[in-house]
Amino acid sequence: VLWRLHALLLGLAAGATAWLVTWPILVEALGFDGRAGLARSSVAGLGAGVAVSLLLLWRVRVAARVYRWQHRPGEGVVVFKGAWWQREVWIPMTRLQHLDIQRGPLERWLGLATLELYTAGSHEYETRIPGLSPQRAQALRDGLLAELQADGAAVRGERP
Amino acid sequence: VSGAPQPSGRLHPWSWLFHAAGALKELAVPVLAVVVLKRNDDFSALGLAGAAAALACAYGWLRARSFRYEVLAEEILIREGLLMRESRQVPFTRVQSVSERRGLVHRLVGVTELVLESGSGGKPEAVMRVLGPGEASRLAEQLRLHRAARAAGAGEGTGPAAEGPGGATGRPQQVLLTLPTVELVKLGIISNRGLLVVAAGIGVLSQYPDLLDLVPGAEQLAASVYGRLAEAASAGVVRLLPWILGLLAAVFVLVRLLSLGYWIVTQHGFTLTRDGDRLRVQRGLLTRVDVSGRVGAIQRLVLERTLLHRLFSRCTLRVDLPAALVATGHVPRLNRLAPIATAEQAQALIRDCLPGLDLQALAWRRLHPDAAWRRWQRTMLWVMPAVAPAVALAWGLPGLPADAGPVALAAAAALVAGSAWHARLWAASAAYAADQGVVAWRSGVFSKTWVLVPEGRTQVVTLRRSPRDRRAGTATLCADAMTAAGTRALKLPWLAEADAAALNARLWRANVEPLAYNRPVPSPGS
Repeated sequence: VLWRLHALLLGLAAGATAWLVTWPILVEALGFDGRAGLARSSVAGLGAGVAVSLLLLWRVRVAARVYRWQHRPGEGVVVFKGAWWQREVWIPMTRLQHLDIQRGPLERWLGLATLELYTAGSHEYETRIPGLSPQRAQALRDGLLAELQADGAAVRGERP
Repeated sequence: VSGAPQPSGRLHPWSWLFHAAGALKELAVPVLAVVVLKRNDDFSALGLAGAAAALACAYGWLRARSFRYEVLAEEILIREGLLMRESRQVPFTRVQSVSERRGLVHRLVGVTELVLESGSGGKPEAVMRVLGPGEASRLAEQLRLHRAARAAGAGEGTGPAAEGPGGATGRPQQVLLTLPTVELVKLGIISNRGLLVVAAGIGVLSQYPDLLDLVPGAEQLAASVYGRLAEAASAGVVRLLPWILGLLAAVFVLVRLLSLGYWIVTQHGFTLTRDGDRLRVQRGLLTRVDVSGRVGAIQRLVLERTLLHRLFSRCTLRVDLPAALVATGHVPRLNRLAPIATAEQAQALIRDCLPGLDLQALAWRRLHPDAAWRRWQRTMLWVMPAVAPAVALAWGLPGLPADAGPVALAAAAALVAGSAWHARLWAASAAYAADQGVVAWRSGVFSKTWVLVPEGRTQVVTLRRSPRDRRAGTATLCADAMTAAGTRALKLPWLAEADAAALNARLWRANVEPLAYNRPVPSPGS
């Protein structure tokens, strides 16, 4: 449900942008022949906006449906995403540097949170898990942090 | 911070000069442009340059005066800044690499610029601009002693506890590679480095075209070359060929000459030494650079053999050490273990860095059988949209020589056939190996590259499947490591899906069970 809200909002925003972009172009193309021309072009622009937002909505919904993440206790986190272009991101626990929970204004309004996982790599050092409930994000972060600390203790204990 | 002791050590008395030079560099381009372009108007231009220089000197003097430091037993205290005063403590344990830079002016005055870096990324921990020779070597020695003591403490059972009277690790420094000038000349001929200089020159000229006026006769030369070209072109495309080839040859020679100069200036007297766990490179004709890094921190080794390398039977070996995430200006770092070396030398160096690795014995595995076909398709994806309109234009456009259309078509056909052949050769030679504690990747038809990443060094691993991949049963595996900012340590395209999954599982295990991995002989029971 949360995901669908998120998608709807994204779609609406994209549609509005598409409308704002196409409208002046259409006005230019169809000419300023009085009020009728202006109205015609804005209706056409609106149509384009709706089409784009429906397309995006569908795409985001599909993406949201296949998006999965998995916490493997003691091992790390795996994120599966993408419907057509699929990606699996494997983040080992031992490589985690720090964890952030981010909540933008939109996310706060929808009651969502994003967990950000950072490693020390040079290319894919940041992985985001969006669309979590705040409680879930908090729980996941606390769990990971506790494991990280236990891991560190084990390493220190076993060294001579 | 009021309780902490105030550092009292000062930089070398000439430090203001180098701080001023740093500030002047920022102002140089605009000032120079004005000075060059307004030659007629001497007074204001000279005044501007003078004002910039005076400003920079004043800034440099204040900046150098405000810098205080103190070397303690375990750390360095630093206080610096003019308006924003900053106090820092840099523990020796944090310092991963020490680099020294001595430019021509540094050497005239007899000083050294010292940069202390940690592996964690971000800015350098400390930039000492500049220290006298005594101070610099004292600080470097103290860092070395501290490291040696720590190494002895960590590996009590294994390491030799010999603390010689000279200090350090007790093991002698071992020279791994030196490059005589003959080798640097070969490197200059092999490398394309001069291309960068040419590109920079073109960039400057496009910004300030008036600069061309300074070169006597440049305009006449360009005009006469252009006239001859136009004359030849009107007689047909085929007549133009010798001209194009001649021009390419001239550019080639120019680029080689520039790279020759570049490499001799930067790599003169190249010496790679090993002192315990540290690799150290000293090099440079005018600016002496002294950089070092830990063998145990090596993230990746890259061996390159281009067509020209093979002509001289040489190769280039690069190394990636944990790097700053933010690019930090002109801090030199250890990135070329061997700018140029024979295959035997390179293999010896690789064995030195990754003990026990036998390159010849790696169990190479091929890519998916479709790899050649897929690679050719990918090339066509960007070649076709560029070539098709060009051919159409060559046929249809009026005013072109009569043979333009057929020649363009023949060239396009050759390109398509050639790339198919290239893709086949590429797929036949590309292979990966997960063996002997490293992940290796080799590829290339004319220019060959070998990439070696120690298994325990990978970070995030990503598996990617496009719709085409899913139909063909292939996947692309990307592995991240602490290499230079923005680079990808390893990308293995078009693996068979099962192979990619197996490799990912292997890398995952190496990271999830780091203790088991670090043991010298992994016991299957644990």
